Order: sequence, then C-alpha cells, then structure tokens
Amino acid sequence: MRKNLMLVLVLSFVAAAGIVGLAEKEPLLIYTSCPTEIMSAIEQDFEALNPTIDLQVYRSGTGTVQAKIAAEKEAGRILADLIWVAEYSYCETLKDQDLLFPYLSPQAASLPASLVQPEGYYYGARVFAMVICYNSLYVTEPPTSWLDLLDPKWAGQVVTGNPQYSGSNVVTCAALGMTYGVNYFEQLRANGCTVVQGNSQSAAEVSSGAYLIGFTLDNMVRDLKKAGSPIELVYPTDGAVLVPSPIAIIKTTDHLAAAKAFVDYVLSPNGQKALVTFGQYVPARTDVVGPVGAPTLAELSAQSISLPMDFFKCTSNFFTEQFVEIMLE
Amino acid sequence: MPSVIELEHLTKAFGDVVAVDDIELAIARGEIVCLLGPSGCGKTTTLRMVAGFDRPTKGEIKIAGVVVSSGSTLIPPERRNLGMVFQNYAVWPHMTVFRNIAYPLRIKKVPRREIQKKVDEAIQLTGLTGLAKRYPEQLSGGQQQRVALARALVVQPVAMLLDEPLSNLDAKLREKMRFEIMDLHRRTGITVLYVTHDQAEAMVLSDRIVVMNEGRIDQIGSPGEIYRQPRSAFVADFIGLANFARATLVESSGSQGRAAVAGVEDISFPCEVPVGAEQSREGLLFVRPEDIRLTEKAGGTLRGIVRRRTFLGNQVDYRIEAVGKEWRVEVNPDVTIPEGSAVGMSVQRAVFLPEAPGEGAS
Amino acid sequence: MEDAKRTGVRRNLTQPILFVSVIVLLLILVGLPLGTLFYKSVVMQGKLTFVNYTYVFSEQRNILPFWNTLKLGALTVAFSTGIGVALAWLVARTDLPGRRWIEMASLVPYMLPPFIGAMAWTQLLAPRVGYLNKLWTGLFHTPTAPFNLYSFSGIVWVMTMYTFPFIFITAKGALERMNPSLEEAARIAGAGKIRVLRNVTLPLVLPSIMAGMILAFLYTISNFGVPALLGMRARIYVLTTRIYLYMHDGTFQGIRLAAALSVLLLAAALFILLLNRWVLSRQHGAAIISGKSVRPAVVELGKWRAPIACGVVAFLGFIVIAPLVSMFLTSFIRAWGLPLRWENLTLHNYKYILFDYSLTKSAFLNSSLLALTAATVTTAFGALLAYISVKTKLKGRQAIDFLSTLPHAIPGTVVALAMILAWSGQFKLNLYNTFWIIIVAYVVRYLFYSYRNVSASLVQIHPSLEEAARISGASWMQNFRDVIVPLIRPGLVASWLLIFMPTLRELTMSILLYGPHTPTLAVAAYEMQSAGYYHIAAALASLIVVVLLVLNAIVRRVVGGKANA
Repeated sequence: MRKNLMLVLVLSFVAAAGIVGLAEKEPLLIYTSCPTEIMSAIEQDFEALNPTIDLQVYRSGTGTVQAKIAAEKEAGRILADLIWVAEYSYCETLKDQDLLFPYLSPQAASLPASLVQPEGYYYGARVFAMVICYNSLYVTEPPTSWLDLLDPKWAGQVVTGNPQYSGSNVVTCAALGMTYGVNYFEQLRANGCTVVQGNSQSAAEVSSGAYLIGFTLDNMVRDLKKAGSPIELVYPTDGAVLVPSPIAIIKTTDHLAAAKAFVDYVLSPNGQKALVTFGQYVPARTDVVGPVGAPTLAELSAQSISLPMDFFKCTSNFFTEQFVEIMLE
Repeated sequence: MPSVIELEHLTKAFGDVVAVDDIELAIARGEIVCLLGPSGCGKTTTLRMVAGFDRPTKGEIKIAGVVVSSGSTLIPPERRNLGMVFQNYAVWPHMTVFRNIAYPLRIKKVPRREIQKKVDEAIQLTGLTGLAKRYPEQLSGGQQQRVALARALVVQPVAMLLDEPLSNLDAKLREKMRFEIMDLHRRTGITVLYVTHDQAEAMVLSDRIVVMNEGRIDQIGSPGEIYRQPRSAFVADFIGLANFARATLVESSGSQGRAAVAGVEDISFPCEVPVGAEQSREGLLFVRPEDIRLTEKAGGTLRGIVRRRTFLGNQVDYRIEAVGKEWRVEVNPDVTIPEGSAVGMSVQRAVFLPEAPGEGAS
Repeated sequence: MEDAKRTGVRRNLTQPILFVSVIVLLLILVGLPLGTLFYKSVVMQGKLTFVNYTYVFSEQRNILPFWNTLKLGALTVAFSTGIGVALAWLVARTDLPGRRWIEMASLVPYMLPPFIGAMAWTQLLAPRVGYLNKLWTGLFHTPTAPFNLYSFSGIVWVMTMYTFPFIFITAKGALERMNPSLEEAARIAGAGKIRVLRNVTLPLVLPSIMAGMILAFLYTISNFGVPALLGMRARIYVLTTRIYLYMHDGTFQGIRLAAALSVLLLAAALFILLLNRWVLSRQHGAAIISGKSVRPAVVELGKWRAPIACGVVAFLGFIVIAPLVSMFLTSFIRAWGLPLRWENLTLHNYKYILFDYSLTKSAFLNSSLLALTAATVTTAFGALLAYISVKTKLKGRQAIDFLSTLPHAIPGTVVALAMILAWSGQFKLNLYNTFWIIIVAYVVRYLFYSYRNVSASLVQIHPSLEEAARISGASWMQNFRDVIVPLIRPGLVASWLLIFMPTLRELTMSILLYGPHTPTLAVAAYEMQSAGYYHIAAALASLIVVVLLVLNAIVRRVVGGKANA
C-alpha cells in the first residue's frame, strides 16, 4: 500500500507538471461577469482568430470580482490582465487609482460616444438593459412598469439580483433610487421581493415558475426564450436601465499585446456578432445586426432611464447600501 | 422443607443447539446450590431462565411455589423478586454506591427513611462502610462486587442468583470473597443459586453441587459426594485430579466390590460401585492421586517407574509409568523416591465407573 | 569502531532534524495563521483596537447571524439527536427486520456534503416548482404550495438530514458496546423495560451521544453551503455566510470584519468544546461502556415490528432516496422548471459539464489533484506528528496534540480566513489565488484525521518491536521505514482515504480560497447552482454523488468499517 501511495504521489506531481507544461500559448487572464456559457463561446471564437493566445476566464459577479481585485491589490499585484465587469463607476474608481492602462482601440471610432471613455481607459463593449421578465405560462397580464411591481397582486412573486454581486443591479439601484427614491426599495421589500444572486439566477427562477416576475437583463430573456423556456420580457414604460459593461486593461499586465488584441476583438464586428449570436446582446456597433425582436442601441437608449457616466461615481454606493440595508437585512 | 426454586423438565434450545436439556432441580429454602460445569454446559443459560431473561423452550420454573416460566407464562425479571450478581458486577457507573444499592428499593417505592436504613444495613453487611458516596470507577473490583451483592440483598429477595461473581477478581481476592459470600449467606439465610466453572469455589460454598455437562445434569450431591463418589468419568475428571484405568469388576456386593486393572489381572483393588453399575463388568477404575500409596515392596501392588518428581511444598507430585500409562500420585513430602527408580503403587480407594471417559485419563 | 561512531552520528542527526522540522512546520502551518487571524482582528495600523469587534457587535446585521448560528446549531442538533438516537436504538437493540439496510441508508447522507443535499432538496421543496410542491398543488388544486425550502426551517431540515448520521454512529456504537448485564441488573432490581431505558440505558450512552452532538453542532455552525444556498435569498444569515459576504464586499475593511466575525465563530466553537469537557468531567461511567463487544440484549418489538419497520423505511426513503432521485431526474431535464416529460429529457447537461464547459474540466482536475496531494502530504505529516506525540518523551507533546486537533475543531471558514491573512504576502510568501493555499488549508484542516488514525495504530505497537529493530542495527530511519510504517499501514491507508474523500468535495474553505485557475468541484457546483443553472448543477452534483458513493464503497472494503469516524 505504501508503494501505491508513492505511486499516487508521483502521478499527482506528474499531472501537476503536465498542467504547467500546457501553458505554452500566451496566457491571457480575464475577470468578467459575462455568463459562463456565453464566455465559453466567445473564448472559442477569439482563440480561433488568435491561435497564439490562451484566454483564461475567471467568471463571477461584479462584486466578487471587485473583492478579488481588492484582495490582490492588497497582496501586491493584480493577477488579471483584463477586466470586463458590469458598470462604469468601478472602472472610474480603478482609473483614479491608476490601475488601468489607457488604450485607444482602432475600433473605437465605430462605436457611439456613450460607450467610449475619451482617453481609452475603458469601453462599454457589452450592452444590456435591466428589464422586467415574467413567466408566460402563469402570467397573462404582466406588469408594464417598475411601479407595477409594488402591486400587492405580485406579493412574494418578484425576484431580483443583488447589487453586492451584480454590477447591473448597482446601476439599476441607482436609477430606480434616483427616480423613485429609497422609498421604492422599502415598498419592494414590503411586497415580499426576493433577492437572489445575479440576473441569470433571477431569470432562471422566473422561467421555472418559482417566481412569476423578475428583474433581469434583456439579453438573458431572449437567450432563455430561444432555448424554449416560458419567459418573456417587458421594457418598462418608466424606462429600462441601460448598462454598458466596460472592458479595461489592467496596467500591470505582462501580456499587453494580447490584451489589446482581445479589446480590439470584442469591439470589432466579429466580437459584437459573437455577442449577438451567443449572448443575444444588443450590439454596440450599428454595422452589426441585432438579435431578432430586439431594439437597436439607439432605440434602447431612448427608452431608458438616462444617467450620466460620472453620476455613478459619487452616488452608486449610496443606493447600493440603501438597497442592501432595506432589502437584505 | 419447601422448595424455593423448582425446575421441571427445563429445556432451552437456540435453533438446533440444545443448551439445556430436560433438567430437574429443586432448591430448598436457605440452601446454597452451585451449578458447576465447563463453559457451554448450559449453567448460565439455566440461571438466565430462572432470572427470566431467557424463555424456556420446554418445561417449567417455579419460584416460591409460583409458576414463573412455562409454555404459556413468562413473568418478566422485574416481577420475580430475585437478587442477582453478575460476572462483571454490572454496577451502574453513573450512580453512587448508595444510589446503586438503593435503586431496587426506589423502584419498590419504599419510603425514603426506610431506604436510608436498609441501604446502611446492606453497606455494613457487605463491608462498604464509608464508601456510600463514591462512584464505581473509584472502587476496586472487589468493592464493586460487594456493591453488587449489597444491591442484590437489599430487598431481601426470595433467592439470590450469582453468575460467576468472582471470576473477574484476582486469585487472592477470589478466595477472600468466597468466604465473605459464605458468611453473608450464613447471616442472611438467603437461598442462593450460584453458577461457576471453578470447582474449588463450588466446593467451598455449596450445600449441594449440580455438575452439568452438555446441557444435562450429570450429578447432584454434596461437595464430599461429588468428590469422593463421582457417578461418571466426566464428574470425576472435572473435579480434582484423577487417574483412570481400564478395569474389570471381578466381584461386587452392593456398593462395594473389587476391580482388576487391565493388563495386570492378577491383582485386584477394593472399589466402590455406584448404584446402577453393578451389571457392568468392564469399565474404568477411578483413583484420586492422594489415594495411592507408594511402596518399595512389590507384593499386591502395581509396578511402575518414577518418571518425574515435582516438589509442591505441602506435597510431592509423582508421575509414575505403570501398565502402559502415566499415573499421578500425590504423597507427603517426607517420602522421597528418586526419579528412575522402580516403585510399587497400592490403591487405597477407588471408584468403578461403568463408562468410558472423554479423554480424561491422565 | 570508526564505523559505529559514524552511524551513531548520523542517527543522532536525522531524527532530531526531522522532528524539529516537522514541529516547526506545524507551528508555521497552524500556529502562525491562527495567531495572525486573531492579531489582525485586534490590531490596526500597529495599535491594539477593538474597533472591529465593537463594529461587529454594534450592527444588527452581525448580531442576528450570531444568534442564527447558535439557533441553527441547537435546533439541528436537537432534531438530529432525536432521529439519530431513535434509529440507532432500533438498529442496535431491537429485532426490527432489515436492520443492515436501515443502517446503510442512514449512513448515505454521511458520505455526501450538505451543500449537495441542499441542491437535492431544492428539487423537492423549492417553492412552487419543487417536485413535492408540484405534487401537492396538483393533488389538492391549491393555488399556493405548502413547502418553502428557502427558510430557516428549510436550513434546519437539510442540515438535520446531513448531521443525524454523526449521532446515529456514536449512539449505535455505544448501545452495541454497552454491557447488557447493566440493564439486566436493573430488570432484576424490579425496573420495567421503559424504566430501564430511562434509568440505565440512556444515562450510560449519554456521553457518547453527547460526543456525537458536539460533532454535529460544530459541523452545523461551520457549514457554509446550506445556509448560503437556502438562506441568503430569504435574508437569513449565519456567521459563515456573513463572513463570505464580508470577504466579497470588495474592501480590505471587509476582510478585517470577516476576521473579527471569524473569531466570534471560533469563540462559539470553543465554548461548545469547553462545555463538553466540563459536562464530561462531571459524568461518571463513560469508561465502563467501552471494551469488547458483547451480545446486547435485543428488545422484541412484537406487534409493533411491522408498523415501525414500514415507518422507518418510508422515512429513510423520503429523506435519503427522494432528494437524490429528484436531483438525478433534474440532471436530465432541458431547463429547470420544465415538467418531467420524455420530450424534456436530455443528456445535454452531462455533455456540457463533461466536454463543453471548461470550468468543470479544470475543476475535476483541480479537485483530484488537490485531494491526492492533500491526502498524501497530510498522511505523511500527521504520521510523523503522531509518532513524535506517541513514541517520544519530548517536552511539549501536548502542544502537538493541541495544534493538530485545533484546526479540526474550529470552523473551516475560520481556517480559510486565517490562511488568506497569513499567506497573501504578510510573511513574504504570497500563495493567495494559487493551488498551494488550498493545499495548505486542506492539510491544516484535515491533519486531525491522519494524526488521530496513526496515533491509534502507533499506540498498539509495543516499544520492544522498535527496540528489537534498533538492537538489530537499524538506524531510526530504517526502523521507521521497515518496522513502524508496515505496522501502521492500516492506519495510514485509513487516514489517506478519510482525507481524500472530504477534500475531493470540499466547499466551505474552497469557496474563500479558490482563484481564477483553481476552481474546485464543489465550487463549480456551488457557482452553477447560485447562478441559477439548476439542471446543470444537478448533473455535476449527480456525478459527484456517484463518485463519492463509489469511493465510499472502496473505503469500506479497504478499511473494513474502521473508517467510521
């Protein structure tokens, strides 16, 4: 048995060496909140176009990614080469801490100005909007506005993601807080709204029927619907919340060229097409055709609650904290 | 004298194995009776049936004239009004000495003051004075066994059952406790059914010994009878040391006769002939080692050669080769016969047994 | 002469060097991180401060999880004790039919991690869509479903299902080992069956049951997966989930608060351990129970035999089989919540996790590597420590005993946090986000298994065996290799397997320690479940369950029942 133990030990070290040995391609580590299934597809697409790069993905909610970055910064060095998490204000914070590398991508010119940070610190490379979704098996008269969710009719039936975890929920908190005041959260809580982790979970809960109504992202609803789930979306009459998810290069990267290549890729028609195909996102470029039945970026912007970029920087935490205080405790 | 415990046709089978086979026994008031036998002879099973832990397959048990076990009734142990002492004491480790002893009284809802009095008496009787507040783990094995005795006695049961109570104690303590139990019995006059595999213990304690073998009773008798007049080779062999030799009964009248050892037919020895053995001619001659005299004369004796001589202190043990087998002889240490010398053995006392022993002859 | 001198010198050096390095390693691996954790929670910017604690205690959001933790522990232990003791008594002391099967079924939850249990129970009792809720609303045509697993009682329920085996095992052992004459003596003394149970049987097995209860309590308050998957959405927090949230709030202050909360969790665990010691010191009779096994007195159930058997089978079927079966079913469904119909079944989930999804692939690889390495390293390390503790007269052996046992007694969350604080550059060594920090955490946390198993084997080796080897000319190392190791082989194998299995599916520490390249199996399953991919998570969890059950069968074969601990 001792021999067996030794054998196991030897084998495990051989295996470990094998893993190390695999990394002959240039590794490129990205921290992102983009859902895993979509990211897997994008990874394959990108690596097919850039065979010398091995894209390594760490996926989690924005909150988790932020925690990771904070801990790594504390420990001395951020491991990620790129981050692609869902909100501007965080990139603003990182930019102010001098943690980002400014890169003026040649693709930038094809994007609307609202998605481009003028100095090239980050780009809103993935666009989605917080909307209302409902289960089409159980709900015939869906709510049409955020305010409708406070109707006792939906008591205990509404589910939302958590701004501590998801960046798009941070933006949503700020937008709804600005529009209706903190009072809105209090009423939502009084109506028995459940807080789950992120938007994909929220959408899954609604499509399964565990909850009838949910806050989630428009692309996710389209994606689930395409897969056959009984879920529909409503762009609320009082305004969807448009969230451009910024991609940025970490200043300390050792793989700058590869990082630039990936930024170029996601901003390019190829990258945007991949986002449309695999993730049902509204494309950031006008020269890429959007998903079936989806509005264009311009249309979406028009019916969204408009919030200036620098606005998040000063207040986003306030509304998140209010939300956490009211909804989670 | 009325019987306190009566066993009638008592039989217990575990599956195909018959552990106790149709035994009959009556124990009189105040008597102390030992069930003696090797392990697996059914003595403990018998005791457990009396206690009520095992249900007899056949037969009946009466305690104080009441049927407690039979084909149709099984009065549970707690309603038999018995005391019992277990091999491993079974003193409850989570109760103090006092609470252990008081437990049977509490169950019987005896008033508090009386409990105190009776437990004190029992503590005094068993020599546990001063230990009432101790926990069993703070007691020696002997003390624990006294607690078990006190607990069994405290309710003045109809009879007390003891299941190899001394076998976990060391030799010295065992001997001391034997006498204490005897003493206790004398003072309380309680009826005792005692199970042991230790013949010395049985000898010291018993009014009567019941020798059991393979589920059956081989012999019931006083210690003297069992020792001097075994009725079977098994009993003879199980109790004390014994020499066996094939023999022929050459004459018999009533319980006395003469037998000749096979191979030396010209010499015969006086022997006792148990009831029922008169008809047999062939059998075994059973001789205790101390019933042989060693002589240097040849006449009327078995001739043999001293093979080994072992000094044991109070006596000398000789191994003598004669008539093709080894004989054990125990004699007074004054006699010294060197190893290798020829010797004559004269048998003073023998019992003729009309059956063959297992392998017992030595 | 010359030769003898040289070997003498060599012998004098290897052994002390080995011993010293092992002890130093123990101090570094266990003492240092736990010390750092405590230090960090009370010292900020070089000053002693209790600001973290005052903050922690001033916030309702921290007080409540503390009470919730205690309440969860207490309730879970109470229910587990009821179920565990009742089943143990039925299996050990009655003539109930199928006792072997009942025992096996009762031990199944013991082999599985509770978070997988939570995932499985979600399939049955999730509001509206759980299979049982669907059945209920379908049968009774009620608009609302009766069960909601996302509640405090849901957490207690699931935790109970996965902790009662602890009490079952210890209670059954005690009931089987108990000398039957202790009970018979009470019968003779006049007590009826029930009274004997109350006055003798229960008081005597109580210390063993208590030991099981302590284990169950520590296990419950340390658990992260169940309260995270079931409680967070219902706004029910316990210390482990609160610590997780602090760790994930993205600030270093969060880590400090997490450290302070960990010390609180640690205090709760230590309090219970001390309480246990105190109770045991006042208890008499624990010792006498142990010893050779004897035929226990069997209670005949009589006319109750059949009804009780049916009840037990139904109960175990419900709590053990039903959740697993529903999880297996869900693993074949196209999307969660779809009705169970032929056209909705697919193998796609398995294909996805096995071939398409890179995370699970690396998770499989990582977890296997982690478990193999941790089991091997920990077994070797624990064996040396056990040797020092059992076979030498070194001063301070008690400290080895304490440091080897401590990380097992305290919650995994606390261990993980201590590792992060100590090994992310604090002492010139940054393991954060690497494979190694997980290994180190596993080694520290599971050291107890090898230490205890090997100690138990070593105690049985008479010193004369070693002395004979030394007299025959073997150096200490040769003696260790040729005499000690072969003799303690069963202990080594048992400890290896006992470490391999739980590390293969460890969640509580891994969730705090995993990095971009080091997701583990449990983390992958947890992430998938909390992202709402219930059907895919179910497929992964089903695979984990199958692997664990197979491994367990192997363990039982190799170790032959000794592994129950």
